Amino acid sequence: MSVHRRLAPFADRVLPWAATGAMFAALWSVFLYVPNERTMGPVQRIFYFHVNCWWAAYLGFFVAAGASGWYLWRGRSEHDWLARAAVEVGMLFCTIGLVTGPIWARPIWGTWWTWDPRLTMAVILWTIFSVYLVLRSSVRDDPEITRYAAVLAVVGVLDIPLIMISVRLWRGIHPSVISAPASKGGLEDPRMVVALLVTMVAFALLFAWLLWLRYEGLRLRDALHRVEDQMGEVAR
Amino acid sequence: MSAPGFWFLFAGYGVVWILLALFLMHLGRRHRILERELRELEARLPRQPVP
Repeated sequence: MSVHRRLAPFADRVLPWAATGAMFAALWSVFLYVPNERTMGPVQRIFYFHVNCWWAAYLGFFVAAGASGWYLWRGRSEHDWLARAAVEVGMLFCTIGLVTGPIWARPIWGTWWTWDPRLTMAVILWTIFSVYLVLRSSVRDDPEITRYAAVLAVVGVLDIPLIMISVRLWRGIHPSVISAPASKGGLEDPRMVVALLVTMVAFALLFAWLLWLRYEGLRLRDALHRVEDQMGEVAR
Repeated sequence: MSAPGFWFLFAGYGVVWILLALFLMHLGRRHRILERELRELEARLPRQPVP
């Protein structure tokens, strides 16, 4: 039994409900459970979705890079579908992260945007994977373009470690809340850690569900095109 | 909750749900295209007698 067949019943029946339930729990924890942060006030609650959007985006791009590397090595279509689906879902979360960041920054920093090293590297990451999607936007997959896109995904993911270390490396102004102690702007209340973990689970499930939906779409589209090609050959 | 903070919070979460909804609509559109292609393919197949 293939991995796909083993996953299908869980992904089709359980994952949508699990993701929806977890998202309701996340909203409850963010709006009703967690206390207001002392200096930032209510706007700090954006943090719980903003941070998890970025983690989901990183996960998507790492999955895409791994699957692309596998595709370049073995040349199997399944790995390419997984890479493409992961980039699309990763780009969704990356875009949400890029938009929610300035909404948080305006009342806290007094500006929507600054060319801080972490923010700049994040825009570069978004641009790299936008190029990937442009390359893959044709209806039929060209094997050469698919290989170029796979190389781009493998190289592009190297930007993520730079984003992670950029705050310390170039002394940017972007806060590193997770690694900072509570006395220096970290999560000051244990309920904040709980809310962050609940939101993380919700985003992981949402990511898995969306990835599955897109992967299935690409798999079915490929099967359809194969049948069309076979019918064309028979007709000739 | 202070009013300006509330509005930024509202905008932040509004953006999250709008972008998620747009992505789901995009997936739905792809799904409809796939269904249409499948129907076109079925129409091209020779009719088989039902056993």
